[in-house]
Amino acid sequence: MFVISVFLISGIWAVAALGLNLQWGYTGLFNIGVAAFMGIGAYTFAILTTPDAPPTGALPGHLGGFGLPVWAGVLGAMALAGFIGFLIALPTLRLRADYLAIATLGLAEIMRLYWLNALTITGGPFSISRVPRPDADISSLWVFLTGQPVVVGPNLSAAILLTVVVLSIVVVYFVFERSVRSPWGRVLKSIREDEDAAQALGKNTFRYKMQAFVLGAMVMGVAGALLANFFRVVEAGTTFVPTDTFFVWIIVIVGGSGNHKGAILGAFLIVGIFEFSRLLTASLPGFLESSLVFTPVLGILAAVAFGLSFVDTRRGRPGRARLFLITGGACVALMLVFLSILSPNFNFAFIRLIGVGSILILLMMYRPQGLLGEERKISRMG
Amino acid sequence: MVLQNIVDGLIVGSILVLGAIGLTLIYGIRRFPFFAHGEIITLGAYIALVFNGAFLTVIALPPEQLWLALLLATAVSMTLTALFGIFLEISIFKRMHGESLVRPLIASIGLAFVLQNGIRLIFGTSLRNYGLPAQIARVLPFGIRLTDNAIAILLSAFVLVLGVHIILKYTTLGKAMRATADNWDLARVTGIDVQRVIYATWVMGAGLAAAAGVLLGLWTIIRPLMGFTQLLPIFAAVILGGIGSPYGAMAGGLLIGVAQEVSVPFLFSLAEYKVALLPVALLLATLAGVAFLGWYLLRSIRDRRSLARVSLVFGGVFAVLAALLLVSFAFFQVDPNAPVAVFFELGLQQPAAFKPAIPFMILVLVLLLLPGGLVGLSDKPRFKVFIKVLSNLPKKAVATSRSFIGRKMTRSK
Repeated sequence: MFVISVFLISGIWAVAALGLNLQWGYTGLFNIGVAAFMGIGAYTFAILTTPDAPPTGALPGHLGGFGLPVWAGVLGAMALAGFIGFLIALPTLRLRADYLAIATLGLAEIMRLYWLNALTITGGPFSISRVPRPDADISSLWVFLTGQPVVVGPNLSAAILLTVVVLSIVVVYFVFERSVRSPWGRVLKSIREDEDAAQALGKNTFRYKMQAFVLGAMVMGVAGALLANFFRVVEAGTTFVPTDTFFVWIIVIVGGSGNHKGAILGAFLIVGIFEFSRLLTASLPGFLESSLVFTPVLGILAAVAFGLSFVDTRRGRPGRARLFLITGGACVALMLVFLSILSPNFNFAFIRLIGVGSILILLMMYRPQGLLGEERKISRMG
Repeated sequence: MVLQNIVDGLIVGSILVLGAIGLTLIYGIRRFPFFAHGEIITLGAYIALVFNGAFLTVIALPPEQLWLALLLATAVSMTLTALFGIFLEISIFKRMHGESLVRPLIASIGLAFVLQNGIRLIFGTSLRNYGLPAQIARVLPFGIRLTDNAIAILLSAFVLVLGVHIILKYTTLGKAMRATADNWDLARVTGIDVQRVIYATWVMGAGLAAAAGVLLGLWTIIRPLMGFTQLLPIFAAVILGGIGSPYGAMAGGLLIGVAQEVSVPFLFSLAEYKVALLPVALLLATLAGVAFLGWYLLRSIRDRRSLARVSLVFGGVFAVLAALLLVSFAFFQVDPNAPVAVFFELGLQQPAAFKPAIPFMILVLVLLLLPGGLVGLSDKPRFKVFIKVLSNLPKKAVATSRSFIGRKMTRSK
């Protein structure tokens, strides 16, 4: 069950990463409000599909009671995410890339505040629960066909959701692969490389950028709807935070911007590492004693490595010196991890996030093209 | 009441100014938006917290002299954070120099997460403060209430900004910084040591951010997210002032602060005028429809089709909205309070929570109308240019309307 959950989460992040890859990897649009679009998708989906929730006692209830089928909810999520993307892109796409970054960052913050405070719409901190999964559609179809009620167990429900997630990855992947190989995709790449040149060739770059941005935002909306499906609860306190945006970014960058396969691989890799490292937390008490031993040992190792690196630099062996420097750096990083276990506020989630952030910095320093790098696309003629 | 809000806005604004000067200098000289600036602010606040505690354990001070320890801790924090800025440049950002802004930008986002979670790891997520004794607000003329903290914030921000002004205007380094922010290549050709300027920028940016963090901790509370929540208004101030212009950032920060603090009580007061809301909404929708349609006409004259079409759509939507409101109000005698209920259902029950929306709206407006900001990229007296443009607007409007009536008249010029 845990493994299936990890697969589900990875798949959902892969969908979001595909959306960002179209925006950033192919068109060079800097969207750091991914969480906002995912959240818009999730809330739209939840409001459209959940049963009515009138205010009762302490709970404020939320807008809803439409009880639409799941596919309609997904369509609504796509539409609203795309529309908000259109609105935010309107003033910013004509300007430099960094303006779009700042505006989308702002959008993410504002949307989060809105979700947390618009009690009668989103339920605020009380969240929207009882979000239906795709099996609701299937069972209602079953009831419609056979007239007999059906109960779907949690395992079957997860399996159906997994199928839907895999299907949406496949669909998005093939649609995007096809479109980036088309003349349209070539214009997108030319905008990324040199917008002025694309403009000089008579392309209306604003229009192409807008299309790519809205399309990406719609796919992120789908990812948000899938996330709502997965958790069955939509709330903005812990999900749809800047960390989520950051996660999608690191997935795209680790996989290699401008590479759809890389985005999918990156999602499974990063989410896999992130989720399976949770298992480590179980063995924490053992860590506490070991950190008392390991911290000084690692400190000495780091000092030795730095010393050797210094000696090698003096003797004119830059290759070895660099190797020792990297070893020393790794030792220091590990030592800091062991040291932090001694902190009274220790929480493994923080270590994980620090690790992911460091990976991003290191990638930008040494390998900005990511693991797979950009895929060279050879377009078919005619 | 409004005066009090303006003074509060000035206090918040002066904190924003300290953050925005550093950010705009880094943006202008290092040529990328430094998204970890909010975390540098948080870092400064926490370093000051640590040293404040350390000083107080070494020397016991009477409650009315506790601020001395905090002052000393702030100085230490500013120094250490400035050194940290240099460390960041040497270890991370130096090797990404001279390329597109993308690599350092993404690295700065990663850095923000490392710093934020590092702070959480070391200090925990609980709320802290500097342990100053509780204060009673002084009542100044016009019914303005100020605590000692508020006065200290205003004073120290003023002193720091004055220091920045003196450095930028009267020292060679400051002139070199302004020149580099203005035109990188030209500055190099003139023989300015650009690397030194970059280090000075990090020192100034990070040091001011640390001061902003301490002041923010005094005004609100110390928590791991304190800096991140201020990042948006600071960016709004930077863009409003014009990227790379410290003086623009000062004006922008104060404007954003005041706008933020004044508009929120205004939102609150909306609830008291429920009855008036419908006519006002009607008026606004009509105005917006007319404005968008007018804009459409102006734009289509200048041959900017795609934007014109968009404005036509907007104008149409607003016009339809206005018509609907008018019809429902005039013919069906809708209860004036009913639309109000809808309005508040949209999530405006707690207007105070939407404070950050104000800088965001200003940001989007500035991007739409004035992407260069108030001052533009240089700190030449662009205010004069701005005023000139403003004063030319009526003339321009007449010319445009003329060209709309008879195109030949303007074309023959």
